[in-house]
Amino acid sequence: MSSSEEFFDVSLDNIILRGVSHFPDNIKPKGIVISSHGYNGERVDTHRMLVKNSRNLAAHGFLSVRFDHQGCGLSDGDFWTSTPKIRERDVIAVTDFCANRYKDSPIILHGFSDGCRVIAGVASSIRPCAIVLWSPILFAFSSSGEPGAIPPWERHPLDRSFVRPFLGHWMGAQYLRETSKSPDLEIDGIPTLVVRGAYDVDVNSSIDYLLANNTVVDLIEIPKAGHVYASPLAEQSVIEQTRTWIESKATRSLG
Amino acid sequence: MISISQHWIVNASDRLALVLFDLPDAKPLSNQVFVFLHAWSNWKDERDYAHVKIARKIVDNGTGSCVLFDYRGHGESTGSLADASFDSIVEDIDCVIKWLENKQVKKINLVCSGLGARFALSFAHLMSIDSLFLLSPAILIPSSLSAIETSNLQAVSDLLEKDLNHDHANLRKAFYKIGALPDHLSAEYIDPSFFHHPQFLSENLPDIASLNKRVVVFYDPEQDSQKSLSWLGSHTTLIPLVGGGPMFRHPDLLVQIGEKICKCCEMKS
Repeated sequence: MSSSEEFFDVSLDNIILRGVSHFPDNIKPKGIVISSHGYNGERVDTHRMLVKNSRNLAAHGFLSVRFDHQGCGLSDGDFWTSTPKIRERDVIAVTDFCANRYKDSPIILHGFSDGCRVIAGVASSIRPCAIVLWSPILFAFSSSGEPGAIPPWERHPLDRSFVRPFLGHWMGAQYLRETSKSPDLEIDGIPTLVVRGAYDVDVNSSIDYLLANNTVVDLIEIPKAGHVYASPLAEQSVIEQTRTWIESKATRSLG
Repeated sequence: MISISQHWIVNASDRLALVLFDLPDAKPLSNQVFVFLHAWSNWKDERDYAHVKIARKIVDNGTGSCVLFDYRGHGESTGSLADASFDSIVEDIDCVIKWLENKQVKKINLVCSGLGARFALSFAHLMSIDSLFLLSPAILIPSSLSAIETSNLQAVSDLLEKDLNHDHANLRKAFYKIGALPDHLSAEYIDPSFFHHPQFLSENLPDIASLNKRVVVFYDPEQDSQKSLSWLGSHTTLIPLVGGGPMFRHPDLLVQIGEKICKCCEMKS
């Protein structure tokens, strides 16, 4: 199936979010998939995985939307203010933008790593027909990104908020405050697919939490894979199995 | 407030994703434009959105407009990494520069990371480019990469695993040396013949003096891979930046790079 790609801008409180929509040509999409990238990721994400995923979905009849959260990639805003709560508002704004264009299409929310917490937090507002969580991270991580080193807090010169370096970014203290609490899991009754790499121990506590909270979870484990599915085989397996699962849920939703 | 617009540019059968950073009142582009060339296998934002942050600083300061784009097979452009050769990447850069020239841009500067510097230096003598800003430039290919068997496409994950099984980790270091992040690359197939392009041979090192252009190099003097910049000669300005490694992974360093680029351009004008 042929497909096309378009850039889009969505305005939210004087912040412009920038993204790309992938859509099938000449047909109404079977569903709308909206992706939330990882903490310091962006709409391309590691080994272009979100681009490849969206192209695959569009080729199979879905509208797939990737965008940069505020403070990330090409969107406006500052990284140290980009917390899960802020990112939830981004997802709602982008979903409204898409839903207005393709009314009555089932919505599927998709998170990658830290983006899963965002999706879990926003699900009760959007009520998607399905949720996909890749390598879910629902709890705070405290490392600086450099092994063994947690630098002290500093005041950011622009707004005086507490920040500390995290690779090439300033991490905000508010991010750690929000993620140190248990996440709002308002996905009860919404079919949820969790995909994990077999070697990824970072997701264990998050998946245990999901299972303990009576969420309807289908779990797929990708053999010989870590957190970001860093081999062609693992990446392809994640993308194909996700799309097959989404097709089954979207078809059921349309009745 | 910076104006950011997103465009597709068609080059032969490929479509390149391009982003233009400008001041809203600049019509149609500032006289001075900075074109950012990302490292091989990375994409326009670069790690930690480094190129985005530097571009914002340059535009915010009023120094010029900025263009970031993905080579074919990279980022949001079409194609696969395995199909992106040295020559196809240079063609893509040429396509973007022609796009700018058609918009009557008077002065073009290049900001290049990793192997992006090598791509730029292969054609800089042919084009009306004013200045080159090189961020941890990679000029030659480490021997462990040029030694990869060239008969087939290779999965980077397989190559890294084989390397580790022999207690080496040489390939991982080699990818870092050319500005590529192994974790961003490991799910890709690569064509090892990419590393055998004649431009990577030491006898084809560019003669910086004959370029007759300003060349400014940002580097981390504590990194082994950055110590040998002697090929640059005395015709360059070297700016050491310590603390973030060759990819300048500290937010203060990215701000400093943006500020220093602005200052260099102000001094020249």
